[in-house]
Amino acid sequence: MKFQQYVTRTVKTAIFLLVVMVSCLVLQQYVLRNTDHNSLRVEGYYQEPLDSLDVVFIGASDIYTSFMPGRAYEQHGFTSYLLASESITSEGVKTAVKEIVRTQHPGLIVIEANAFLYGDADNETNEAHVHKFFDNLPFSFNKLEYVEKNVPVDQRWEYLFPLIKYHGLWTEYPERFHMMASNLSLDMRGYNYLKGFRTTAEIYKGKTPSLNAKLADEKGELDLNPKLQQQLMDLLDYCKEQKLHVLFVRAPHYVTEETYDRVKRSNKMASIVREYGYSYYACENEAVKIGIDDKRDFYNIDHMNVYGALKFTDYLAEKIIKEEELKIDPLRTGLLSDWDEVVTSTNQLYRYCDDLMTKGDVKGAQEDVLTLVSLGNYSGETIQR
Amino acid sequence: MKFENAKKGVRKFIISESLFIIATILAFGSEIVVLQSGTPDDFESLVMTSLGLFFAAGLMTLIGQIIQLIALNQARKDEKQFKTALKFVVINLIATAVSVLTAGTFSNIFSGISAVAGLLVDVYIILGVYCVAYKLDYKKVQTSGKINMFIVAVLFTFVIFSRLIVIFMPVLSETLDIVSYTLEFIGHLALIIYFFQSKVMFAETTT
Repeated sequence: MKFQQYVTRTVKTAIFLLVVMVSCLVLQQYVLRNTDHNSLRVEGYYQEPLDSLDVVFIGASDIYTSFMPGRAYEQHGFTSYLLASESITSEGVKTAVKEIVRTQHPGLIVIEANAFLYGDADNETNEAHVHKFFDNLPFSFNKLEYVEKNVPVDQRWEYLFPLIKYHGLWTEYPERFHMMASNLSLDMRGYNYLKGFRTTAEIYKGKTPSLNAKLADEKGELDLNPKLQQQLMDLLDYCKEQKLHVLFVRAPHYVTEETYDRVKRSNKMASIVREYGYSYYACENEAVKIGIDDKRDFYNIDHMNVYGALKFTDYLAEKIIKEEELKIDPLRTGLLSDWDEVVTSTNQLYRYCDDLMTKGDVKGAQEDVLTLVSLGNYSGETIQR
Repeated sequence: MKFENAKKGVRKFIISESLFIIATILAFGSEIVVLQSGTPDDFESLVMTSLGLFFAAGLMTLIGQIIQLIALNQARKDEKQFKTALKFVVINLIATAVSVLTAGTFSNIFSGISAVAGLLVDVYIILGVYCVAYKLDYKKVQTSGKINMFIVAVLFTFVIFSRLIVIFMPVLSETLDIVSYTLEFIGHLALIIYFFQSKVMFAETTT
């Protein structure tokens, strides 16, 4: 029977092709993938239900180590997510804003300033930093636009199909297994426990003295790198065009002589942003006012530990509520228990890191299976300051 | 050859296809309700109506699939293509369950497997009836089988392309769902006509 043979052969060929495609997809998504905390964070964003976020934060490690969405929800009732990636580029920030417009409609978008404050534009072409963000974005016109505009022709396919770049990662197993398990676990669960927050349990004992005490009076400005300034202005134009409610923030750092120029560039950026009619919270200059303790609240010169993050979160969240007149949408009934879990996990993480630091142990803490298992030993009750 | 098992199976296919048609209409209605723009006061009642229709559609589909399973289990005794269809029904049910219970890419992969398996169920049911018609030398049903196979191929192609388009333009998701439901409705209608023709074939050739 020719018709039967024809149909059977066509079906078998189609199934074979589909099996090959699905296998490649599974390998690319779970096995041969450079999964790290950036992947879990960015991917977790896309699992948030539509229009369920009141605030979305964009930026680099400065913001994902300083702001705790679980704490903000517990204390002030607004939901938020950290769509941030390690040393994200200015183009990455622009793409992130476009992705937020495409996928969520938060009442406020908060952009941490770091991407625009480098002294040169080298970070824009740092392949590792670019991949850390863009590898984890799903297919979209925004992603294609970035690739077409910024990526050399011979490298484009590896941005669209990361399997081409990472096919050699099989040699790094079984060490990578726990991150693969974390990725799979996130997909099975369908939501992120920490909403992108990550930290290191360590107290920085810097030999170089901190200059944070004098920042409140620092009004000096230093010009931004011309390319980064242009990127900033393109971003501001886009935000105006889309009528977005955007806020710019500079998180506290352990400022030294070496990094002082960034403070002045931050002041310059504040002037530019305010000219466009947007707010800029120079929290780096207000570190003393916030109560940040240089001797206790940082784990290195660029990032706060959980002690500092708690203070900063309380400060920024209250400021957002009061000064930005944030409209908080009531949470859908089905999401209330998810966010209760986020609060519990955040409080457990704080206690876990506090315990480690008290003992003098140094360890990274993020949304991976090993850390999440450890959190079970700690209370999820509210942290009292 | 009487093909009694296939005959009984086809009768049950008619019932299951009828339920699938009702489910498609309910799902279509649910999508139309979602696209309504009412006042903020209407929003909750629109959401509840849409969810209610969607739930009813799901229930109809589930009952239809159970009847389809029973039909295939019976019909496979007379024609091996129904046995293959039965395997794909089981794959479809498992894939749908995994897709519903998980999220992210993992869920999407299984949703895709479920969609493909569902279409292959139709392919092998059509082929099964075609093979019986071939053995009974009943040309009308054979021709109808080829037409139905073409319709399923069109549906298959559309489903694959619409899943790709939605990745880039999620705003088209509801519109593509409506087109998909319309095509599914046509597909189910064609299938039910095919099964009625098969019923006539059995009545004419096996008495």
